[in-house]
Amino acid sequence: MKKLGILLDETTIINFPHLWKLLRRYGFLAIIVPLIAIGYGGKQYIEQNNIFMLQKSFVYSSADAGGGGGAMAIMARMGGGDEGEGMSPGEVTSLVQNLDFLQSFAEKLYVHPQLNRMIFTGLNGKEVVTSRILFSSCGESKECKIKVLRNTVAGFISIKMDPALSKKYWVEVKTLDSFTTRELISLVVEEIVRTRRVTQKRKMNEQIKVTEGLIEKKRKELNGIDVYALKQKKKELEDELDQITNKMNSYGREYQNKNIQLSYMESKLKKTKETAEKDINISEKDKITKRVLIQSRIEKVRKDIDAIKILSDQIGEKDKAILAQLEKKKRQLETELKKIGLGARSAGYTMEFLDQKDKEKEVTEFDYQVLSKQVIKINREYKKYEAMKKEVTQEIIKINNTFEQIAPILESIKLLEAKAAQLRLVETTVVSDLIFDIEMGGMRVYKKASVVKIVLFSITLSLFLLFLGILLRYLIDDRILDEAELEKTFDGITIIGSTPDFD
Amino acid sequence: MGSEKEWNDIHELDESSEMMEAQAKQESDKSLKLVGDPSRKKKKSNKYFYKVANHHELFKIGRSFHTDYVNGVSSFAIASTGYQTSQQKTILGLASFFDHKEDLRIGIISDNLYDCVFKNIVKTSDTFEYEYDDSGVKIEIHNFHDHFEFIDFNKLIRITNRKKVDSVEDFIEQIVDQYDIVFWDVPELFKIENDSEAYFPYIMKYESISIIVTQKLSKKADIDEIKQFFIGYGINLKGLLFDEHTHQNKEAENNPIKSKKPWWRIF
Repeated sequence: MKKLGILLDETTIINFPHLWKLLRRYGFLAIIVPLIAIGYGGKQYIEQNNIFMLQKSFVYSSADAGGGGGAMAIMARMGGGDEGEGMSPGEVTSLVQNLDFLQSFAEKLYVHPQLNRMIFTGLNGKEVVTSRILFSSCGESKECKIKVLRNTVAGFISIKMDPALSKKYWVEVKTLDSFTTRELISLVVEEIVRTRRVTQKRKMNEQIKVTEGLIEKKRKELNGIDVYALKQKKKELEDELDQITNKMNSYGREYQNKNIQLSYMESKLKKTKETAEKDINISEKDKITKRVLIQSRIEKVRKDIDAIKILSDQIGEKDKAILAQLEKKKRQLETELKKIGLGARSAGYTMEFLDQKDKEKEVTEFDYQVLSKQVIKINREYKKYEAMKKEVTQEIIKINNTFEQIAPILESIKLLEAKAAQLRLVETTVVSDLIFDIEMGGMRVYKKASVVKIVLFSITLSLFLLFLGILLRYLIDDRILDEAELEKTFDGITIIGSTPDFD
Repeated sequence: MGSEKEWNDIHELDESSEMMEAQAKQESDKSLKLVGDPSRKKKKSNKYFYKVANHHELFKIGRSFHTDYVNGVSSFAIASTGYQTSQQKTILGLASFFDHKEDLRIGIISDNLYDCVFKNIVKTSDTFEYEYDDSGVKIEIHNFHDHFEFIDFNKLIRITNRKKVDSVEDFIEQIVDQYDIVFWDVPELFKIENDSEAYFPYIMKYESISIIVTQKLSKKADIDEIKQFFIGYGINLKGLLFDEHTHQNKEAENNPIKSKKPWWRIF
């Protein structure tokens, strides 16, 4: 272990200067080992198969991209859960590793007309494997052949994410034969698109079923309530309420009017009665009578004066004399009237008024009776409608309460029905959300491990083997290399110094 | 190491040899050829001291060894995991340092005098014979301009192996005591292990041992083996010296054991 101690260093772990010394000491190893490693690396590189690769890119159009899958994503989001975010990059890249996909792809490939021309040698294989050799263990069993084909092609196809762009991917087909690669890639692209469409349709169907189930469940929660009938009934009640309200309004107005009339009538009746019962004295009556007479005379004279004035175009001497007489008479009558006084006038009116009222008393009372009966009737009708209104209002309130209770369920049902309708629409128009480019890049031929990798591998291997070789060689070599080693080896013995040398 | 009887014999020999030593010393003074006269004239400067490429390091390790010398250690063994050149360079460098620092009698005992680094120095050295105790046992000593003296370890082993001397310890001690400081160029471990009995007395003279670790060549297991071997003998391990100069190590290539590399060493 002393020797190992010499190889180790406190700070750098390995004592590199000493290692370098050993390298120079065992120069043969230092030359042979890298040569062997490089030779081995070179051999590995040369023996590698040429791999033929074709790539085709596609874009995964989720909701963010706003493509044909946009509606799909929206629908998926409405369903909630992981699907609301579309496929993750891992899911996209593992599309072609899915067993269902491989199975359907193998079935398609099995019936390909050029199957016998294709080479199915594994990427690391050495011998050529045709379809005949591939199916040699299956006899006549079609399922077995498809299964073998499925397991074989799984290693040829892969999907990789574009390092620069998100949502962009590359489907790669790698085989050891250019013809096989070309045939496989077109098949793969078709199959991916078809499979994706089928998958999406299936998802839609499932979502529709789930939605319908939810609707059914919600409907059951309604406990047999016929919402439509309830709505109809509510409408009718509201119409009825409107009518009742209108009627009540008109009855109300009528009642008010009649009430006013009734009150007027009442007052009138009362006053009429009071007035009819009232009497005036005889002298007053004579005066009233005389006044009335004089007034009528005056009126008559005035009319005569006016008539003359109107009927005559030119007032002659005769007419003037008549007019003067009439005027004089009128003045005499007016003087007489003045002597009688105004009271007479008012008494005259009063008498006339009283006579009138006396005559009106019966009529007024009749009218009053009729009016009061009308008012009572109107009032009764109003109250009836009021009661009706109250009933109808309570019914409407009851219906509203019921609606309030079932409103969340109704809302859910409404939304679910809307969703179901949209899902059905989308299902009929579903397209693949993986959009492939039309053009494809050229065939690329390469070896699995590039020259750089091989060189790096060789360098690493040679360094490792060199280190190992030197270590082993050093451990079995018990010669003393230098003074430091001497000191370490013979720990405890004085190192006097170096031997003298002579020129 | 040997049986208890042998140890007892050696102890008895020690006691008697002390008495004899005093006598022998007197006599040897007479028989000894001049190696170095304390009153000898000042020696020339050691050119090898200035040929060192890494003076700093030499001073550093030299000071360390000098401190030990001051504290009483005078016998330094330098070993390695089979890289003789490195050992010899180190010994040469240290010897030059001591020689430059103090006027000392420096002895270098090596089993590879006529190869590697010491070869040219020994060629240009004056050789004389040293007779032990008038016993007729002679040893060649190569004096390098009075700076340091080289003794062939193999010859010493041969002498003691063939029991040409009565007392090995006495013999070794007499050799070593001539010098103020002795550097031992330790032979490869397998040689020692193959003839441990012969090397043992000499190993006992090591007062400290330093092991050279060669960068990228020396293995921990080998170093541990050497360390455990000498610590087992009670030899003080002074420390490790690090040889960071890349060598074409011919000894390792020629060594049948050393040249056996595991297959994965190509990596």
